[in-house]
Amino acid sequence: MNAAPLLRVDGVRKHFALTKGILFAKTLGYIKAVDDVSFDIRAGETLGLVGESGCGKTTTSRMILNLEEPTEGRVLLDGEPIHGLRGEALSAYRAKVQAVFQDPWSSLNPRMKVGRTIAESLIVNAWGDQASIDERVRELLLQVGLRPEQAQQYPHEFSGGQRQRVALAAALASRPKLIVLDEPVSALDVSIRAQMMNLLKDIQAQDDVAYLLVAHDLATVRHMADHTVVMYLGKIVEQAPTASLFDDVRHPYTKALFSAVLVAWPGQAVEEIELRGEVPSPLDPPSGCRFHTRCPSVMPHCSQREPALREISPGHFVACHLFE
Amino acid sequence: MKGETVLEVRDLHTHFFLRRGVVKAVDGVSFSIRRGEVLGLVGESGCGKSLTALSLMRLLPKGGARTIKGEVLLGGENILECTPAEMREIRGRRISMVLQDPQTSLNPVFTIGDQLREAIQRRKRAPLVGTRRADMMKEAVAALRRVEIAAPEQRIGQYPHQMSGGMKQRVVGAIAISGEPGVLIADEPTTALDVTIQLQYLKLLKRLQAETGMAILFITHDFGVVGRMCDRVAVMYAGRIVECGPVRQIFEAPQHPYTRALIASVPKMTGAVGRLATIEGQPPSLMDLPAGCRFASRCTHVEQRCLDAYPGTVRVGDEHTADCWRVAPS
Repeated sequence: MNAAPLLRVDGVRKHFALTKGILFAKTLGYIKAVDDVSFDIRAGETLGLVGESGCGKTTTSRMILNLEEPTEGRVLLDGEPIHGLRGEALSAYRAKVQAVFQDPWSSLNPRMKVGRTIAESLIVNAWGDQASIDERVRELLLQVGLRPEQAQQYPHEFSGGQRQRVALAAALASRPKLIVLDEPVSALDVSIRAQMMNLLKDIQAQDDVAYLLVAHDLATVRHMADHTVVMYLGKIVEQAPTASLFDDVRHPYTKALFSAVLVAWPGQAVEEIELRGEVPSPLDPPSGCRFHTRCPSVMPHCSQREPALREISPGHFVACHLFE
Repeated sequence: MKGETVLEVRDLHTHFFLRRGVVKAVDGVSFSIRRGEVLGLVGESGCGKSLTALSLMRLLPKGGARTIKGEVLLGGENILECTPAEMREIRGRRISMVLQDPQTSLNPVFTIGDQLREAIQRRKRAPLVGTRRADMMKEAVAALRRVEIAAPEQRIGQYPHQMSGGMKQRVVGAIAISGEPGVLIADEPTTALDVTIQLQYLKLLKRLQAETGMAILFITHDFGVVGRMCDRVAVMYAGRIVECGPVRQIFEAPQHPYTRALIASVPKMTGAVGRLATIEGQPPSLMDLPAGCRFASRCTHVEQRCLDAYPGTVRVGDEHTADCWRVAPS
């Protein structure tokens, strides 16, 4: 394991201003979508980012994709800050960091043959002449388990699982170092989901590409990720190597999340933690620990002081007053 | 408290008649549900599970879908023979439905209170003129309280967009059960919800069921939800139920190769992390179904007889059936 991370997210915040009016707009407040988040992704590794809607996982991934500028903090690829890149440097960054999104129905251009969709990033990055581009497209289709002649087909001729393979081939075209996978399998059927997960693992083993896996399904993360980060209302609440997190869940929110995952076989005893209420508004997050309004183990000082993320065993970080 | 059969479906066939041909989306489905029971209907997209539900409600999509054969016995009466006017009386009072997306189930331009009031008024056959609005609103508040919505007096004046997904799905649930139906069809009601909200909703459904004794047909593609919710499970593939049995037996000793492969392909929360089992190939086209077993082209145990003829339903245990040539009848 090499020491220097491929990608470093360093104290990143993203606050969206909520305004009223168009001319002379008045700022009503800030939505703290992501609030002081840091983590590393190493080359060839998978980092799982888990949480419910509104926890900031998508905003975090958008900042990594350089689609969003952080309000504060930095994102570094190979030690170089990624925000503020312009022109060719930005194109080079985009070639190194690619994405596959959730919905394979809307992420492909319906009027473009899939071969052309896959070739797009090769053309943009001046890969070479037409013959070498064709050869690379052929190679990519084979790599994702499709037939080379399918390059001549349009997206509507493919099933959901096949489309997701096309999207993956397009992401792989420029030989990226990191692919952001935003819920890559949740739109797929159960049996197709397993095929896609196996394929992603095979490609990682061949190409040594790193993944940032944004997902809400814990079982998917368990099978894919080396490290897992759990977010709640814009903050990291727990972070650990996947195996040790799944063995020893510490944060009350993570515990509730695990107990809510309905993979329990019938008759299997599970500790059931039903959280009351819903996720509070990120416009006005609770004081102190953001989870204290729903936490089953809440203590008086939880609403006053914000818990810091601290290491409770090697590599396992928790932000909770219970572990101080 | 689990008692008499309240809904029995026999040999249901709902096909789409298109210019290109006939799509046999539901092609010989039979099952029954007892009072106070949850029957899970599981399968992948396109297997016909939602169309089965719509056939039971007699709310088939426009564009050539017709139920051409079979019986749907609700309390012994075949509702496929009811007139549209009789059907309107049955829907909501005796059989109700909750759909996947609460956003599209509610009308965005009316308040929650108005939509509940309309449902309650219809169920009670209260005249639209002359019924005191305040009385109906009181009932609407009670209905919201029943589905555990906090501060129902305030919520009643709100519009759907002011509520979260989980809350909207509760409102839809309140409308669905306002007529005290004997059967509730829930078509993927939690798929659009976050996991912690999903758990709240499932527990609420269970509590409501314990109060009312209604039978629930729970349609889902998620085996985790099945394990938590259902008493029995029916697994659908290409328009037919291929296996049906008590939930424990289906999980622990699945008999049909499709059920076995499907359960094996689900990533687990315990045990070794390795390669996941997959099912190769694609389901057959519903316009051109094979003569034999519909799973034969993807089955790892396929034999000649599987290709020649459909196996028929074999009883493999107590309340447990499978449509496979290889299973031993009990």
